[in-house]
Amino acid sequence: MLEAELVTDVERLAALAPEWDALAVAAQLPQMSAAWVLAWWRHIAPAAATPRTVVVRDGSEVVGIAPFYVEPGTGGRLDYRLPGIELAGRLAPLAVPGREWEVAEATVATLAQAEPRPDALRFEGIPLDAHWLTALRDCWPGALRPPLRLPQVEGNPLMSLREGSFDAWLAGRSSNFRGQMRRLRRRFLEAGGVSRLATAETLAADAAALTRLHAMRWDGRGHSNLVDLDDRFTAFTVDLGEQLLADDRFALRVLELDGEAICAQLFVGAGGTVLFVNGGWDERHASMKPSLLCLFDEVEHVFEQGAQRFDLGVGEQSYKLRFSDGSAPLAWGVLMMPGARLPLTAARTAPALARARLRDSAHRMLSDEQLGRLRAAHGKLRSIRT
Amino acid sequence: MSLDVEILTDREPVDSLVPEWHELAAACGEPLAAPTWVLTLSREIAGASETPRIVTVRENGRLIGLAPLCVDLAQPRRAADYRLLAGDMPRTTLLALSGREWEAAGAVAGALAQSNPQADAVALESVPVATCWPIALAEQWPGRMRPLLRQYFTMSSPTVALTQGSFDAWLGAKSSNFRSQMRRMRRRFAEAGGSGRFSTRETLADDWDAMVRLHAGRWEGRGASSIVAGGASLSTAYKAIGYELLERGEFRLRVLELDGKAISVQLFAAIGGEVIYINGGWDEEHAQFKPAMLGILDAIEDAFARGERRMDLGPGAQPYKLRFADGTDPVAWWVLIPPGRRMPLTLARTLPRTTWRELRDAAKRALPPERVDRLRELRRRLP
Repeated sequence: MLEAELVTDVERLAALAPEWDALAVAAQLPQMSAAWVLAWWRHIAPAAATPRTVVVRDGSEVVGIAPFYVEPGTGGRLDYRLPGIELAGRLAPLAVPGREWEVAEATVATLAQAEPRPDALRFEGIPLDAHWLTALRDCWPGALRPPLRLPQVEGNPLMSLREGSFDAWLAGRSSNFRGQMRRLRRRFLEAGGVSRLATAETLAADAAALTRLHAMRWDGRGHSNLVDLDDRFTAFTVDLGEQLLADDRFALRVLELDGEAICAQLFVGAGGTVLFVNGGWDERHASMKPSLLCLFDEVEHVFEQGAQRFDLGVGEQSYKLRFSDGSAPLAWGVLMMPGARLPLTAARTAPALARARLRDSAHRMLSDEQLGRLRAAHGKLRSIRT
Repeated sequence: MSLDVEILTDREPVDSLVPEWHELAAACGEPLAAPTWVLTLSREIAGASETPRIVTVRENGRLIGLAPLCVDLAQPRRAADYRLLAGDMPRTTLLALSGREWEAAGAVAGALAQSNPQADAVALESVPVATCWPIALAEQWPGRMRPLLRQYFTMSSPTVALTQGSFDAWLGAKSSNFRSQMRRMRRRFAEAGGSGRFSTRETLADDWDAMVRLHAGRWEGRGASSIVAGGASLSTAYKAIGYELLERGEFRLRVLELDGKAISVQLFAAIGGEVIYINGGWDEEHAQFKPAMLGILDAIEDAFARGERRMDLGPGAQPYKLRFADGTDPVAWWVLIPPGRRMPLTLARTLPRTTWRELRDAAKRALPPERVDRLRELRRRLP
């Protein structure tokens, strides 16, 4: 018989860290680990946000954690969300493998009684090849199943690492890819370049470099959540590094030229999966293709670590597709709670759904060129507004 | 890298596909999606009008995805509903190498949109919940409009993780109540002169006949059973599958005998570290030995000895399965209706079936278990 507890303060969450981390390792979800989520609470959470984390136990064993939060007082629909979409996707509750449905049942039974009562569970970047969407919907108590809407699906490239070693992996790539990467490495080394990982001593400076380089990349290019977070992202990275560096589950790779960081990329691991979180690079050195080079170096590193999967993160950018050999897409959606407020919730959800449908139709009907133009116009409008 | 897609509609090219298909099913750990099961069952049981539409997806010649579908060409009003071949099995699915499902689904969707006859609906029944296939097909279906996609039913499928390293370690981690019950059951059965064995090539035909007899006995007056309804043709198919897969360990019949007579027979399929319990039958006269539980216990011990990873006890959360299970991996029923002129008609045609399932589900959610049981009983009595 499972027991569920609703945790509503961050200090109490911190006490669960060891058991929580074991679940994140079993699920291979570094972005749902205790270290990640607690660092999110310390540096990134909105001021009014409070945890609504459901902890599910079988006897004394923690078998599931659903670290939802709520941000009351924002008006409109009251959503329970999972933390961290500003940083990465693949956000999901955690459970001992095979026990997702039991955990989902205990979770929704608890959430249905939570205060304030959620109007909806909002999913941002939830994996499609997992049980959670169906389980949370089917297990919701009461005669009616909550309506589930999934207006958006995004690609998420992966590397399977099934080749077992970096050399075997490289040998399986096209000769064009091999030639390009070797040339890039050689040129970078000839120019005096250094590729290194952050240490406890360099962590703070490297995290600041990551934030700075990321902001440089996005300057005039549209919107980035990390740019909005600015110093808070630096503090998050340092916090995460302090917790995970010693366990070899945190890698902040920096490329330097003449002692100056020209590229930085952040990676986090759990249970054999390494996640590429984000990065930035200095455009003055674009000819060196620092982003490709940095990722290439990290691929070699993850093979050395014996990782089983390299998650390249949300978005099918061309540089990621040069490395990937698969994809595990993510969905964005909303599960609307049955009850007196359902019509209002549905009405408040309708505009976002309509926008998503419109976007989907545009993708289906327009050419890439037309889409590019539309995107540019949208970017301009957005910058005028901000 | 570009993918090559092909739709196979003739038997011959399908037969030559078997080794690669088998390898893919093993990589996916999907015993009932292996070619011997799918092709044999569809050959022996499907109507003459049901023709294969097997979509293969290749990269540099290597099979990376496969959609073993079929279409019934003799449906009323020339409706073209595509469904999985041998789709009545407890767990069926499309196949792709790990991480390639999305790409493969894109290629399959593109091929189905061009297929002949044009698909009015694609039914994916009893497919794993934790798969991206249905959404991936809908999202990547070509054209200006996205198809309608509806998940209208799910069913729990209890599972046993075989990750403890040995049968003894697994048993040691269960409750003392469970351990003593299992030991008592085994002791009492042995003391009564009972014995257990797996079928061999020599005993397979007789064992299968015993299974059908015992299964039919169990189901008499209890409702419909696909094995009973399948009759001789189903038995022929299962025996053929057994002869082909028995020696590979991918088809297992566990037989319990008392005084030389089978009192329980249970069927399991396996591939790639995954075992699935398909069905069984036992003699009610010997109910005190709990033969269904004894057979599953033996099969779990055997799976540990073979180094397998998981046993799926099949859809349905019956109490005897739940005694063993430590997880669940449910299956779901989906229907995808592509946009087009015939869409309203297809919707009207599929609505009664999906609505009926949803109504049943709503009743189960809304009513207390006693009333659900009474409703079930009432339905059983209806002619």
